[in-house]
Amino acid sequence: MTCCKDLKPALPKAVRILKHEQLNARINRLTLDARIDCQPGQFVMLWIPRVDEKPFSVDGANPLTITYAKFGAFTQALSKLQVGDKVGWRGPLGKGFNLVGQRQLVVAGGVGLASVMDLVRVMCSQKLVVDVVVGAKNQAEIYGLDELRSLGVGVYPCTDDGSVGFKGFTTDQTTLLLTHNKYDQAYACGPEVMLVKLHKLLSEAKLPHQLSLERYMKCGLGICDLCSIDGFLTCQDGPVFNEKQIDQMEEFGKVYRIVTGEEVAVSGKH
Amino acid sequence: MVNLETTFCGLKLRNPTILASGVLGVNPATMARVYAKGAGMITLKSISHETRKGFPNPTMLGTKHYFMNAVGLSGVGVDNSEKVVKQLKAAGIPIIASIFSCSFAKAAEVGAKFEAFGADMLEINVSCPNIVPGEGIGTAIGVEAELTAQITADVRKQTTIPLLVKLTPNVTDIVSIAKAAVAAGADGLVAGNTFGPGLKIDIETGQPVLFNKFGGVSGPGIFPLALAIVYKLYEAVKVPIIGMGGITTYQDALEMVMAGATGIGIGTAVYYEGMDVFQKVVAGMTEWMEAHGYHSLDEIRGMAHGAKQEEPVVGKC
Ligand SMILES: Cc1cc2nc3c(=O)[nH]c(=O)nc-3n(C[C@H](O)[C@H](O)[C@H](O)COP(=O)(O)OP(=O)(O)OC[C@H]3O[C@@H](n4cnc5c(N)ncnc54)[C@H](O)[C@@H]3O)c2cc1C
Ligand SMILES: Cc1cc2nc3c(=O)[nH]c(=O)nc-3n(C[C@H](O)[C@H](O)[C@H](O)COP(=O)(O)O)c2cc1C
Ligand code: FES
Repeated sequence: MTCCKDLKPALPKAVRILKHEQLNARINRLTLDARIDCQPGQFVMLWIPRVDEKPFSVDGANPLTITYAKFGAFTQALSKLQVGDKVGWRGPLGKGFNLVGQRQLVVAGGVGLASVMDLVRVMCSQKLVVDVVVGAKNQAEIYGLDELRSLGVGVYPCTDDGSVGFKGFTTDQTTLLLTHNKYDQAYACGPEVMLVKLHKLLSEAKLPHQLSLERYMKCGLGICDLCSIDGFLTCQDGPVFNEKQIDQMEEFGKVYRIVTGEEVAVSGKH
Repeated sequence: MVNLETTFCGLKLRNPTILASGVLGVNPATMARVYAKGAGMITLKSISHETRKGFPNPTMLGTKHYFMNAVGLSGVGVDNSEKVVKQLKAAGIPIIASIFSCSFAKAAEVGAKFEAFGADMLEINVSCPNIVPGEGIGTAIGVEAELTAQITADVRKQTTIPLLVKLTPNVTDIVSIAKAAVAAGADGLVAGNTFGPGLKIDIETGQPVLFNKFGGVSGPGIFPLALAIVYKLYEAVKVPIIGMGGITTYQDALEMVMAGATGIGIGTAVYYEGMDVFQKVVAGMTEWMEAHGYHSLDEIRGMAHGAKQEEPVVGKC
């Protein structure tokens, strides 16, 4: 039998909240009294006793930090927790990013930045050349620019309304960067419509890339099958997939399974 | 040459391993992957006449000895399952459709629909322990011989493909319930579902971990309990049995066959060993049989029952 140390974490550990900051009207950052040994891009399941348990990327590993957007019941409940309250976590889960080459392009849409923030930190610690494209609807929703600038990376904000940085989509900004610069690898996380466009344009530019995908996750353990994209389990084989794996996914950009297992269109999952 | 080919309820399987219901049984592409990884047959997640959300998370937890779940029978409903069955059958994959319903008439309807979609076999789940009181499904049926017989007979009337009944181990006398199911028309038995339900408490918060508090116990820790049940059933009924509960290694699988099982159900071991568990179990069984000079599982099935032994005098009462 597999040695128990190889088993995926399947029991939450309850720890105290050390810090709970509001980054903007929609996005909060939670710091837990815990450290995690993980690859950038891996995730944890966060448990609020008697409420629910949901997946979140590891934004920072030591101490364990989660950056989340307030959506529905779970993230609202999370936002009400205070320093000293206890939440449970289990992880690291899934496969993270694989650092390749020297010149790095990172693209983040919305709270997708949380999934690549630690990656950027690791890149900087290895003195790699890094450009980060950060997209959001508007000035009120963009976050993380100061932290990125303090890391010394190239920061390219874009907003739909031009209230900060480039006016347009992250994909437009990426196209511009690709005409001027050479990169060895690209990494991205964000809404799937963005990732679909990005996959197309990066493939055309022949730039190898890794995308962090989202599917509904119940177990995070490779058991419930809800997170499956054409048989790839997002919680186990992903959430980070390379361009070759993504090319094999017919459901990428199209099919999303909700909690019942029913298929809905990716674009209409909210 | 060792041949693991197994005929189960008239259906020829390339090997006796079967993916258990509720584990990786939603997306046909995932099930095709499990089949490609060596499973002999695939059971779909239990499906009823309606779509169901199941319980909020945590719905599962695991330790190195056991696993617990209170999924609450989430599912897409039978009318969303046609595509799933058709896709698997187009790929030539043998499948069991697992069905349940609080209404026996609806269970029969769900069974008939799966038969029309092209499923090879039906399995009635009367044994899920994660039920809300009053729902009238799962163990609410399976702990009663009469109700088990009734749902079996009702589904049998509307269907013709092989019909299995998946038993709950959480009863005092499983043999009487098994006999009732067979008398009502079951062609085979699945023994069985999860134990308990059990409970796990997080000591830091003092709270149950599962949202539903209680959950069915599966995984390595239940194996000897499941094995004993299969052993007893083999002596009591003539129909073939899928042995299930904690099977994780090829040794477990061989023990199950020696206790009398025809099929080897594997669910939670996907957590302990990954999807590769199917090919590992099949390869291990094949190698063991080769080394011991066996050619087919028929030669070892039920071996543990043997000839009658002397009754020892243990004490006076
Ligand atoms: C690998 C992974 C990493 C993630 N990392 C982050 C992160 O770092 N920060 C962040 O803000 N969000 C992250 N998410 C999304 C986060 O899980 C959802 O925002 C959260 O579950 C919403 O729950 P809710 O009850 O507040 O909202 P709901 O109203 O229930 O849902 C809002 C949205 O979240 C999705 N969602 C709900 N439940 C789940 C679930 N169990 N699994 C996956 N998606 C779900 C829904 O499909 C919907 O699109 C991540 C998701 C995945 C799969
Ligand atoms: C997460 C999970 C979900 C399950 N869902 C179902 C189900 O929908 N229907 C069913 O008949 N059994 C279900 N079971 C029970 C399994 O099919 C199996 O009978 C049981 O887990 C014992 O075998 P195992 O130890 O190999 O998993 C489920 C088990 C688990 C762990
Ligand atoms: S979340 Fe359950 S299999 Fe991936």
